[in-house]
Amino acid sequence: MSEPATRLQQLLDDPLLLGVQVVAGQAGIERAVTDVVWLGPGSHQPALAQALCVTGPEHQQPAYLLDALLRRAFDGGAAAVLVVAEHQMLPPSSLRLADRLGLPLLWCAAADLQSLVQGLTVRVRAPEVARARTVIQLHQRLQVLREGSAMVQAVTDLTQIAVALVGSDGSCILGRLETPVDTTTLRAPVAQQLGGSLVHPVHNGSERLGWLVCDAPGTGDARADAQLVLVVLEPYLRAWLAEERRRLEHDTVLEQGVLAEIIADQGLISREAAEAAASIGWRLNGWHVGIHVVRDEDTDGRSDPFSAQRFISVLSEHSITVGALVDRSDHWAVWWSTPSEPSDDEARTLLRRLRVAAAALPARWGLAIGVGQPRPGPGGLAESLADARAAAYLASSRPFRPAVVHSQDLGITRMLLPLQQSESARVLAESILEPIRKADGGVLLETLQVFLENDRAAVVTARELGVHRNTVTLRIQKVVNELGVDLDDASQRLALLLACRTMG
Amino acid sequence: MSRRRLVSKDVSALAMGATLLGSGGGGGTDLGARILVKALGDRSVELVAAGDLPDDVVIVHAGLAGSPDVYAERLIDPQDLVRAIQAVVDAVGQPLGAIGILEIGGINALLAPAAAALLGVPLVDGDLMGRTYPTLLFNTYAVLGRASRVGAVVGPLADTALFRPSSPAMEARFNQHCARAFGGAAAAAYYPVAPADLAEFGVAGSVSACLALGERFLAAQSHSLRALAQAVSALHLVSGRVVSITPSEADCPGTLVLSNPTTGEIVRVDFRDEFLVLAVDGEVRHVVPDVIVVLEGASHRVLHVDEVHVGQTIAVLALPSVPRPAATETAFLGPVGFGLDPEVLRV
Repeated sequence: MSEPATRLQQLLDDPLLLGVQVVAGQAGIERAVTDVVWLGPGSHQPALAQALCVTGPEHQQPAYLLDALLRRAFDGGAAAVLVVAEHQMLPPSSLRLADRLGLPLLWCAAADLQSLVQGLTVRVRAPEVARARTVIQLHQRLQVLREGSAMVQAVTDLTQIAVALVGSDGSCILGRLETPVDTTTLRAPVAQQLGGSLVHPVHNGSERLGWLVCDAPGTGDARADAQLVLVVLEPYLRAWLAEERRRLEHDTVLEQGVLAEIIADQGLISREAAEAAASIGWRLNGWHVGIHVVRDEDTDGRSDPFSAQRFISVLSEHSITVGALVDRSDHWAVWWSTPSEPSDDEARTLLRRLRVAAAALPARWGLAIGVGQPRPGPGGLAESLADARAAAYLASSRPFRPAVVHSQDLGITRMLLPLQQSESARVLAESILEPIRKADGGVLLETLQVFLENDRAAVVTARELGVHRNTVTLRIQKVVNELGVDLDDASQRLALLLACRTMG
Repeated sequence: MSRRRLVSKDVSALAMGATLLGSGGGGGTDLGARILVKALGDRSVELVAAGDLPDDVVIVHAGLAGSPDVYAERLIDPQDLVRAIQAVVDAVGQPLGAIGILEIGGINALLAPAAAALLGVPLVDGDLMGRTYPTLLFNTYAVLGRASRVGAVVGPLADTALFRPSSPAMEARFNQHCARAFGGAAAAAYYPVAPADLAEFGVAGSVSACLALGERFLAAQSHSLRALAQAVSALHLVSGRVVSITPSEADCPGTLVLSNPTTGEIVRVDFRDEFLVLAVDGEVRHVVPDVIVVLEGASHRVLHVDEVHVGQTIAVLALPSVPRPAATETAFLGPVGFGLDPEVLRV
């Protein structure tokens, strides 16, 4: 981005300082010089960090004046002190003090102090001027860009510094990272170092939107440059993220409305809804496979938050390009579309890929996914989503996650669905199972369901629950006693299994 | 707090205290100590607080005018001091109640007691400076703008100059010119003051303080430097080898530079007639009116400004001066009085 700061040794080779002698403090000759400060009579307390302090003959004698100036320069982090005086009469104490402090003490007999200070200032400020120029160019470029990816690219083009925008969940939103960073561990919204990377918060008041990351910031001046770039870029990306969010929220509301209409009208949608669907890029005339995604309510999403974007991105990695994903508060309605009727092979491939993709998603999400039959047109989409919903219902009753069930798998069990899903069935099931519902922390209910699902096989039930077979036998005996049922009676068994599934 | 009587066995402690408070100047005290011992003989001089004297008497301050270099070679007759005091007493027309010391550092701390012994009057336990200063301008009355009502300077041939200065500056000029006229050094008497006046504006208790300091130093002189510094309650102690000396010039104080081979510290001591500033690694640690004392490394002998030479190993101590009355504390008694920038020399 910019040249490194000038070293004193380099400065001494400059024609500007022709005739300047290093009279003491040779050890500090490699110090960086970033400023020139005139310390004359009446000069106040300027910042001296990395400055070449220039003074006239009035500080040359007595010794205490020059000693005090050296000390002040040293304490202020100055790079060197230059005494401009006709004769070199620097006090012995000052020479020794400069050696002791490792602070170069220079002398020259130049007559035109003003030109010297001006010339030196231009020379040592050159890297800073270059940096300022780059910052201005950055602002000029960034303020006309509307896309985050273009902003990140512009920064890289102008400064050769690669940056990336990482979400709070650690996913990379923009740019590329050679070294991944785990931003989920970051708490304080301040610029900081994470491993070898520099991270800078992107936040809107108290809301943290993400982190800007430079994973190869280099050292010294390069590092300072990288830090500066992150500071410059942050407000632009913040504005872009806010705009994206606003647009997304608007789209979500629109999508939810259109989908609700499609489902309610079973395909006979209004012209307005059809136009709205077209405006958000839904192609409703082809064939659709509905996918219904639900997640367990008690899953822990804090450390690995649910993200529709991530879901789509994982599906995409597994060659599934979804037509749309609509967040319907208790589930995601997703569909996959083709212009013509998909072959059986295509449908099977889709299901297989979906299973592999679901396995690649975090198990903690506790996903249950139902897949519908391919159906044509807007009405077909509503039907396929209804199929998928039924399949997801079955999937959610499976004891493992992620569970993916195709509506074909429902078979004859489809007959049971209306029973299991109805509110009256749920009330009835609750009253039947009430005696064991909360007993022993719910293990009796769980044991009963697994026992019945496994066709009363105590050994299989014990293995699935991770308990001893005798424990299963004892629990089942307890259930029989509590409920007063006869498990040898097939009707009673079926009723109990339905009740358990309804409760589940 | 006063010791009631000063006897000859106290002289060495008084001389040592005066040497320390001389801060490297004030003239050698050996000669003064011999004069005082001879003047005291078997007698003693009563030490009194100014406030304890009756109101109708006058206290006259005595000391030397001129250069220490001159009286180092041309002995002083203590009777000249008596003559100078007498001349002032005659001029003010009041009975002499006691003798006061002009400055408690250097030879002047010993000559006024000798005059008191010869005149058979008490000595005030106090002085007008609290340490050594190079001229009369630094006494507690002068810094408040008060000149001596009457001053007298007596030469080696008993020539007597009596004057009534209009200002401290004129008083210092009279003093300087008379001393020069009398061969570079002379006996002087100044500041005939009432006891109550002196009790308010004098540096009270400085003779006792000087004696105590001298006693503590003598008792610990053979101990380690650290123990010695502790014995005299030194504010600071540094040591090193003298690597350079720049003599004092009209507009520029002289400078000693020490290097401490163990710590690497660079110590600077600025001086004129006395040591004025102690700085370590460019940081000012002590400034006049603190008393800066230079000791020869091995013997712990107190060195005058002109006794330090390159290559010598020395120790530098900073001691507090004897506290002056608050009303007389002015910036002039610090670096300002020596033409040095007080802002730069801020500790």
